Formats: sequence, structure tokens, C-alpha cells
Amino acid sequence: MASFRQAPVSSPREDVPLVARAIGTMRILLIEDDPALGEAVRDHLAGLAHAVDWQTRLAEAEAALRAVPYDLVLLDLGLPDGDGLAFLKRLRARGDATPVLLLTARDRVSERIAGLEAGADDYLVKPFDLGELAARITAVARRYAGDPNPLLEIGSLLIDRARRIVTRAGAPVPLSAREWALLEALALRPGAIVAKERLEELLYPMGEEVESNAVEVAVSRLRKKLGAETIETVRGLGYRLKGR
Amino acid sequence: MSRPPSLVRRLTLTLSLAVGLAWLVAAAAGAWVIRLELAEALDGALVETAQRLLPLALDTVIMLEPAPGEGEEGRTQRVRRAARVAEHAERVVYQLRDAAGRVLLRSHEAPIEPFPAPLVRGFAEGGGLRIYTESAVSETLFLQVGEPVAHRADAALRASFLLFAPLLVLLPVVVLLARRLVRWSLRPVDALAAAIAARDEHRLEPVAGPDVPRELAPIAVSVDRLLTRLGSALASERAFARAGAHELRTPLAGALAQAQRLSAELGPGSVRDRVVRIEAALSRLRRLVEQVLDLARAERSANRPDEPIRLGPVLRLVLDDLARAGLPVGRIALEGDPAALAGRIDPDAFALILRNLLENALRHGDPAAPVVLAVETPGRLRIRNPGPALPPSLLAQPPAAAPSAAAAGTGLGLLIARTAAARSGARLELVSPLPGAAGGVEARIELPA
Repeated sequence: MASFRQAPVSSPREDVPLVARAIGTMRILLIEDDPALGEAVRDHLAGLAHAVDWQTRLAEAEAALRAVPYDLVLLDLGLPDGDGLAFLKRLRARGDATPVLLLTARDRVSERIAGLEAGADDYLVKPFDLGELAARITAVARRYAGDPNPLLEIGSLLIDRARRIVTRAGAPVPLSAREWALLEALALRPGAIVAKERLEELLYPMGEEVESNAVEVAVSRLRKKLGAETIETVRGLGYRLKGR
Repeated sequence: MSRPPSLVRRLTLTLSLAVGLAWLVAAAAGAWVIRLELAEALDGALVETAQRLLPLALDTVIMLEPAPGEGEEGRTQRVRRAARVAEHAERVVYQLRDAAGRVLLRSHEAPIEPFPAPLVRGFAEGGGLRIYTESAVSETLFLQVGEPVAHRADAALRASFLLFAPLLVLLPVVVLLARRLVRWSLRPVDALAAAIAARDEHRLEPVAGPDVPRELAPIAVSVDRLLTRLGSALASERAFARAGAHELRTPLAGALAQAQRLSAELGPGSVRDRVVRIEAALSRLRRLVEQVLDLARAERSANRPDEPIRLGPVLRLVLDDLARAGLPVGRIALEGDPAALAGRIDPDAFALILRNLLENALRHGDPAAPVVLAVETPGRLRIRNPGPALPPSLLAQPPAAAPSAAAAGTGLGLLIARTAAARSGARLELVSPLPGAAGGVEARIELPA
């Protein structure tokens, strides 16, 4: 496992065994037609104590999905018997909310936006580092399970996602569940913009009526507690955590 | 002369010159013929005049034989008195002379001195006159009729002028007409030029057709051959950028993942060290392949959308990408209205420009200072960061330059951004160092509206 730390991957390092312990065993459906890549991904995830079913065709994957409840789908887009994107759309159209992480060689922005709009939770362009893949899987799973993560330090803020504690200059800051969900989403990638719609989804689980200014209200409360400069409003695009 | 030679001008000039020259030759020949004909006609008239005049002059002379004791001079005076008519400008003058050459009778403008012409029947010239001599009374009396040569020359000159004069007036008309004709005749050339000019990487259909004249056909055929070759080159380039992305990325992903698995499974030892080295090499290769594919995509991004595209989501995606790549995007200070970003640009090209410029700024700029991304108008933005200035070689690098090994990093990123900008119609201007500062970089981007 030590070799992953040496690999020049730029995503935040994660202690792999810890992650595996934290998010537990997941049942993962891997849909990938390249044998070398599929095998390595399957073995790697199995090594992290996940149960991985590997399919190389959409038809078989479709059958597997209907038979088994998966925690996560790793989906290649260019498959021999069809387009992964159409597969994803069908999945979402029939109300299947299984988290989907796209693994693809399609690198165009429009293709990536199309993938995310079709209902993918994340997008990983090949070639990727296995450590990076594990980190993304953890991130996606955490989004659903709300599972813990190591400490995050932003300016004078210390966010401990494992224990759900935030301290500002050493003093603990009490947060409501909604405020916490908001902060966690923003802290996933500090500096990146999180769309307001995404935050609305977090505040209001499926089916609930969304109050038009709920996000604004929650953000302004969070700002009062964490400091006004911590969260930046990017007008029309969303919110982001400022600082380093 | 810096202007390129004009075919129209040259053809107009040569055509006009040729017409003018032909006209001149024709006019000269005409003038010569006129001169001859005129001389003949006037000579005939002179002969006629002499023959008509001779009997009258003889009558006068015979009638006025010298009176006894009158003397020669007296007789002449008398004859003159008898022949007196009102003085007038004479076109023709005459003298009646005897065999000794003395002038017996003359018209009033005729010189007193005898004409410098021999007393022989026929034509002679002298004293500025064309003289015809007619004899009578067994070669004892001669009538000489003279006409000024200058008068003849004048007449010929006038007639010739009438031939040449229209040329002067008509020459500009000829030039204009020639110009129009040349232009009209060269229309197929213009059409061919326009057809060739209309060709670009998206329009490669042949230019040769039934409308192309025979003389231009070789050009059209050559251009078509070139277009075909260009088409296949572009097709393979596109195929590389599209399919190649898949064909390169997937096996590389497999190789990298397999190497990582292997190094994870092997226990510590020299074999594992080697696998780790392979893994590191594959990771470097991955970065290189990504940049090459980015460059290929930048080269390909040319199809400009008809409508402006909202680019806020692209900015969001780029920031997300950079954050995932572990770059401190929290340092990016957004100014203006990023959500308003819009332009007629391939979103992929915009993402390439933005990501490479931001990545350079974050990697090479002052880590303690923010990277400012200022959206000035929906189509204009600036990315500014303090830090070291760009080396002049990178600042001046033309977009077409091939990336050298040394240029990897900042240089390749800049090349990708520049290529994407150039191919998608965006303007990218780099200023470094910042005005009034020792270092820093500012990228000014203007999107096609």
C-alpha cells in the first residue's frame, strides 16, 4: 500500500485501509470492457474489502443491477454493446438512485457535463491512479452515507468530519445538521464552486418542497458562525469555501 | 514596388498598347496613302489649270503684241493693266514665259522673277512651289502653273490629323473597355480564387467543376489534390484526437492500474522497486499523453457555435477539476460576475484556455498571493497573479511553435491555451511583468461574441 503514497497523484492522500474501514464494505458493480483495466480495478477494490462484480457488457450489467442492490456503479461510457450514457439515463429514468461514478476516456468538457447531467455522481477520466479512484469512491459513498473523513484545515477553521466537530481558532463551533451538511459539501473540495441546486438537494431530501431562500439562510447562518469571509457567494453559479 | 503585380492591370495595359499601336500603324499607312492620292489629285488639277489657262494667256499675249516703239517693259505694263483683276489670295500662280525664259505674263501673286523650273513640259519643284509647265506655239511659249508645296503639305497634315485625332480621344475609352473586358474574362479566375479562399478545414469539397475554364483546370485539379490530402490528414488528426483519446487512454489506464496492483502485491525487494519505477514512468507518460491530447483537442476546437454559450458551468467544472488535482483553488479570487460569462466559443476550448492559465498561475505564481480571475464583461476576463515574470521566450512564443522538452510545464500549458484560443477565435494576450511591477503575469482573454 505504501506505493500509492509515492505515485504522483495530486488528489488528497487518503490512508486507504482507514477509508475502507470508515466506509465499510461496499457492493460495487464495475462495467468496463478493457480486460487489463477491469482486472486491476476489480483486484484493487477487492483488496480494499469491497465486493466487486465485473461486467464487460451493458446487457449483463443491466441484468446484474436488477438482481442485486449495489452501493455503487463504476461505469465506462464506450462499451461494445452500447453507450454507457444512455444506460445511465435509463437507470435514472426508472428511479434507480444508485451512485454512479463514470470511468471514461471521453475528455471533452461537453461530454463531462453531459455525463454529470445524465445523473452521474462523479467523473474520472482515464488514465487514473487507483488511489485516486479509491478516494473518489470514498467521496461518492460519503456523500450518500455521510461517513467520516480525516481533518480539514481552512485558515483558522479545523473541520473534523469523523467526529463532526468544527473549531474556529481552537473554540468549538456548534452546527445544526443542515449547516453541517452544507459545510461538508463545501469542504469536499475547498475553492471549487458547489452549485446552489446541489446544496438544495442536500438540505431537502428527495420529494420535499424546497423553500426558495433556504440555502441563502443556511449559508448566512454558517457565515455568522465561521466568519463572513469563509464562504463566498459566486453569483449565479453557487458557493465555495475560500482560503487555502 | 510592394504591391503584388496585377494581372488585370498588365492585361489592360498590353491590350490598350496593342490596340493603340495597331491604330497608329493603320493611321500612318492611311496618311501616306492620302498624301499620295492628294498629290495625284492636285497634280491633275494643276495640269488641268495649265491647259485651260494656256489658250487664254496666248490670246492675251497675241492680242497685245508690242506697239511700235513701246518696248518690252511698256508692253508688260500694258498687259498687266489689261489683265488687271482685283487682288486676291491665290492658291495657284502662273507665269507665261517665252523660249528665252522671260516672263511675258504672270498672275499678280506670282513672282516677277521667272519660276526656277526648266522650260520643259512636265512637273518640277522649286522656290517652294510645285510647278507644271505646258508648252505651246512649237515650244516658243511656255505656261507655268505653280502651287505652294506648303499648301499641299498642310492639306496632307490636316487629313492625317483627322486620322490620328480620334485615337487621342478614344484611347482612354479603349483602356476602360479593355479593363472591363479583361475583368470580365478573368471572372473565372476570381471565381476560382473565391472558391479556394472559401475552403477551410470544414469545407474541403473540390473546387474543379464544369465552370472552371480549361486554362485554369490544372490549378483547380492541383488544389483539389491538395484538399484531398489535407482532408485525409485532418481526418486522421481528428480521428487521433477523438478515437485516439480512447485508444491511448484506455490501455494506458490498464497499464498504470496493473503496475500499481503489481507493486501492491509484491513484497519489498528489488523487483518491486522496479515495478515502482515502471509505475512512476507510466504516471509521467500519463501526464504527457494528457497534454498531447489536450493539444490535439485545442487544435481541433474550431467549430464556433451559432449562439453564445453560458460558460459559468464550465468555470465551475474547471475549478472543480483543479481542486481535484490538488491545486489550491481557494487562492483564486473571483471578481465581477462569473455567472454572466458567455461567448460563441467551443466550451471545450474555453475550458482548455481557462484550466491551463489557472494551473500555471496557481503553480508558478506567488503562493502567498491570490490569483485574480476578473470577469469584466460576459466576453472578457483577466487572470492575474503576482510572482515571477514569464520568460520573454514564452511571452513571444507563437501558437504554432512545437513544444520542446524544455518547454514542458508552463510552456506546454501556455501553448495549449494559446492554440485553443487561436483555433476557437478567442483572443489571448499575455502581459508580463505586470504594469508597474517587477514580476507577475496577466492573461487577457476576449471571447468571440
